[in-house]
Amino acid sequence: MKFIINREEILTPLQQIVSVIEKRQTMPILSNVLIVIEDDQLILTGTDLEIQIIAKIDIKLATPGSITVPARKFLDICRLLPNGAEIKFEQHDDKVKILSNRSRFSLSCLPADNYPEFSESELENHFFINAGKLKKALDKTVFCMANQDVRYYLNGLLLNISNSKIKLVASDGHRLSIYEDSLDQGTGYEARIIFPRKAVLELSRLLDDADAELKIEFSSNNIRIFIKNLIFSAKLVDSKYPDFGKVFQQEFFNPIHIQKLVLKDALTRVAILSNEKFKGVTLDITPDSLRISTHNPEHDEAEEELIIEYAGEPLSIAFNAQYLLDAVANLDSELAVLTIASNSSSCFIDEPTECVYKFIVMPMRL
Amino acid sequence: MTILPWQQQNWEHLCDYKSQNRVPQALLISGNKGLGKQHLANQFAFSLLCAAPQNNGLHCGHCDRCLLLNAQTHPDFIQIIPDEPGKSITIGQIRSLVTRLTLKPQFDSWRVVIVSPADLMNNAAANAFLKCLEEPTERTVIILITDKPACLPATIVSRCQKLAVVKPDKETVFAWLKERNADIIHSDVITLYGLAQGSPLLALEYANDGTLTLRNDCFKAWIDIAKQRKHPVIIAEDWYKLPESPLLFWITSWIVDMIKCFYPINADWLYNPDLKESLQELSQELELKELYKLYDLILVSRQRLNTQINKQTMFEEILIKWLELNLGK
Repeated sequence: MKFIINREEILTPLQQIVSVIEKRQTMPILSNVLIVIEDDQLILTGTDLEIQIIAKIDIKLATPGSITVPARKFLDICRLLPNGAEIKFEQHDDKVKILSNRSRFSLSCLPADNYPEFSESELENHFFINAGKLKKALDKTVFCMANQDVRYYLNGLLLNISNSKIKLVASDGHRLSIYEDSLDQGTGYEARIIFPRKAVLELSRLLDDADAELKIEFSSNNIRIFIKNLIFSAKLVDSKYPDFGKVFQQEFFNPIHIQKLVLKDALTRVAILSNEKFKGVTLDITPDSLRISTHNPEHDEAEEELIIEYAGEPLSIAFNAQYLLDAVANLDSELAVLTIASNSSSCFIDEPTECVYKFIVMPMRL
Repeated sequence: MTILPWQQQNWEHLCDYKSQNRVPQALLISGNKGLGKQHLANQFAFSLLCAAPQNNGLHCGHCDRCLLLNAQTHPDFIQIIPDEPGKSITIGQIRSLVTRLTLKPQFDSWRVVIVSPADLMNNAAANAFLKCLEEPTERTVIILITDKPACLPATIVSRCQKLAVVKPDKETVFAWLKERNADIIHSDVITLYGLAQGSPLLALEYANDGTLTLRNDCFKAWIDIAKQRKHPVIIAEDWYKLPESPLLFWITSWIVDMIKCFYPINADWLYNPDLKESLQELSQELELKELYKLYDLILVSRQRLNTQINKQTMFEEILIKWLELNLGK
């Protein structure tokens, strides 16, 4: 195998691939990057067995072949060569030579046959989506995902496709966020898959070009996303997502309308004196006024009063201030609508007009 | 890539699981050390993971999956062993396994986890494993291997299908050993069979690493103490550096054989048929009751092996007792 490539062409894809490769590996070969030359394309692959990124770069005058080389070392060599340097890559038996100007490197490598790539078979379902749209949906939901929860299905994001509707749901058991959007083309199927946490965070980092069109393929095992010259794959979580539909089927108090910014500022101020761990704040709601108050074990107290639009019985309920702030920060409208369940078991936060984004917080007992 | 001759029946049993589509979620393979349990488990795992297994159920050895298996990079073949030999399998290892199993297998066939030796899981690890062991995610088989099934918590055992690898008969072992090691002489084979308690792999290992010489040296020292030619403390100093578990078994076997020698006995019934005459000679000088006391001490010592006991003192105690026994006649 032999090829020559410009440093700038290989550097970015290589960095993207190395970002999934973990420093501590169970198998030595996983710290390597798989390099394949096939049909005038240079194909780089990196995986940690949970996610895999493949980058394809067009290349001319290359001899086909395949090999794996230590990823970090290869990246560092490419990175530290001068801008615009031509890199010559040659394989000699179990060694790889990298030459550029007067620099020469020789890397030991492992055979490509031993590399545990994801299988390349066709996946059952696919749809197309704009990268900006997906990125927005991810941004509005990912922060609700649980982290290392024993209920492992919560350490991920539910992706629900039903014909031309796409719905993303994340929850850590205390709060839940739902984002709905529509696809340009109907898909003609209904599917629910759980995308693991690590894959979601990595994917969100790769979606930097909002105009790109993504092709997403998935089966019950894997998901594969084509982002320009990259192919991102991930294993899915092996479980069913809990049924959260029941939370909608209950009685509610009348909705409360508040200016988003006013609520945000007031909450931030009051939260200063809340219990550091639980961030509990009490909301006393009376017609047209909301009193936010808190106190902490040091007997500090804070209180703030806001004007709201609400017609109904007075009520009192407590929340984690951080959860409310996260929700309010993700609203696009000026006005926030809070709807509290009549048994005080949950609070919905959404926008007055479009209901694409919904956030549900469980109250606290103070 | 073959099945050991004495495991043929176990293998057919496993193949039936596969052909009837009734592969259990957890399988406990038990049997003495040196019977090839790990080999059996590996063959079963390979056969489940291979893309095109042969007619007899064995893996093909040349498909993509088998290449990965041979290179030990198959993502759906997970082995859990202690981080250092002799240490326990920790809760951290089990937790990361459980996390790993929450994702789907990489390929569309099975995923196999082998925990070996399962009795080295500490309590916390075993408890953390229960939920996963009972209901692992789809297409996952967990194989536990142990030579001390009694050391496993009942909660683990009750969640597994059991498969016992049994000791083969003498002829099978003799034939197999001769096939593997053509230079071996027949009398050695018989001795090795006794030493390895009928476990062929262990016998082969003993044959190849010169254990027989070492054991003969130890027996000489044992006699030297009885005849008061050597001091027990000096011998204990040499012995505590040797692998203690086989050594303690040898001592046990000598004592057991000496007890047997009190009665008219056929050499075949002894652990050490080659030492029959020396043992008989020794036993004639001894009190049976005292010999049983020494036997009790050895049993206690064997239990203490896995604790932080000072091995030198342990051997001193045994050997001094042995000397006293010989003096007391």
